[in-house]
Amino acid sequence: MRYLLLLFLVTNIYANIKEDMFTLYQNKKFKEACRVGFKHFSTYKKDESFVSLYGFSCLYADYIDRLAIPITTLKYSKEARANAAYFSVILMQKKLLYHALIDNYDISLLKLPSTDYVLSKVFDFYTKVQKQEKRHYYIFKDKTDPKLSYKLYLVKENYTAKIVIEEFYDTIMIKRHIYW
Amino acid sequence: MLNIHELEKRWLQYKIKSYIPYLVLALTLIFILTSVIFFMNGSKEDNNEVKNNSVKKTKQTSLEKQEEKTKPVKNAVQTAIANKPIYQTNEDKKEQTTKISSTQNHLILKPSMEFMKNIHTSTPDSYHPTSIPTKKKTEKKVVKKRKEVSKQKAPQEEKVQITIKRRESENDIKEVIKRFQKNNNPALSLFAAKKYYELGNYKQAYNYALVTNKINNDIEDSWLIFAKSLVKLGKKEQALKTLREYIKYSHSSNAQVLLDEIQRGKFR
Repeated sequence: MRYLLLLFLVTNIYANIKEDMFTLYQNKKFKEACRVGFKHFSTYKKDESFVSLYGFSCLYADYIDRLAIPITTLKYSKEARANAAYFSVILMQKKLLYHALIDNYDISLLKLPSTDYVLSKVFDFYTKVQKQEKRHYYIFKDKTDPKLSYKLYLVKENYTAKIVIEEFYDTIMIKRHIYW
Repeated sequence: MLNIHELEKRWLQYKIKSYIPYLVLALTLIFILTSVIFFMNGSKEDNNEVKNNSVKKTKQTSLEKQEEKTKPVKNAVQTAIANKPIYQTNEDKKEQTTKISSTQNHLILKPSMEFMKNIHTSTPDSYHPTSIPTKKKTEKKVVKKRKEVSKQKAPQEEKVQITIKRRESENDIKEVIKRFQKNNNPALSLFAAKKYYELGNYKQAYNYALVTNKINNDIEDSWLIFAKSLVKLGKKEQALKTLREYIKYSHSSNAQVLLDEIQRGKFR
């Protein structure tokens, strides 16, 4: 009886954390959802839906480096593997773009799969830029929506270079993503 | 006496008839195979090209083999090329097709959001897109209310994924509106009006277009959104009146086009 009660309590707490994370995710509070997931990750790392939720929360909060662990743990179901591949492409593109922007590394010959995530879109645009065309900032127009455009540039904060991607609608900046 | 000729004839007929099902089966198999090959390969021209290439290359191999006998020094390199002529052509073709497909249809990975359903069903909470709570206290209240709603409407749970996108753009608008409230920039209110119009929220589109016009009455887009929203809200006459006034003032060709479209009933 005691064990049953304990089991019930544990499952209830577990459901609450997942539920909280899901609510935060649905309310677009990605940073909080990512933080909650990070805090409880070691406990629920075997639950692939939890790991996926954590991964997407961190992705939309622009904490892309945190995807490294979900990439390695998501492998037991088809869905999890698809998400792991999705995350790994984004992570790789971020790292390559960072390397290319800071060290002038040529990535124009690379042909990687893409995703619907903003970083992937910008990465695709950047790979089409010739090496001679290096500039302080780049502005790319979205293929599907002509009013959407992306501005890519580097900033230095506390001795660390950071990639900044700004999303523009007409002339209005609607979102800013910072990666490093 | 038995009529042997008659019997032999009948025996032959019987024998032919016994072979008919096998023949039919073989013919259908051949037909299916040829049709499958035809559809799989796409065009016969490619096949002919491949065949021609392979024939040419096999001819080359025979020539090379003849040369091999005479020139043993070239042996290694030439046989390496000559040993796999057919495979090379096929591989080349495959490479070409993959290159074309990768350039034309860039591979786009898509995430799998099925796990959301699992979470949704495993947790008693359900997501409702109508309200976005801002404070934790209100969140809890909303969650409780949603619990009750979800119990009543269990089969509607599958719609979660669809609502995400809409909320994303609504969130974007809210961020923009916050910024607009701080600095009263007409570009921001115009953005909100446009976004609301795209989302089908014509009332809000009308409101923000009106606000934009009040701040700056020279923005053409804002007047167009304003008139379009009015039409969508069923106030066609008011929209026409506004557009006429605006055309008098600005001589805008876009406004004139919209006016004509509304009058002709093309824009509804």
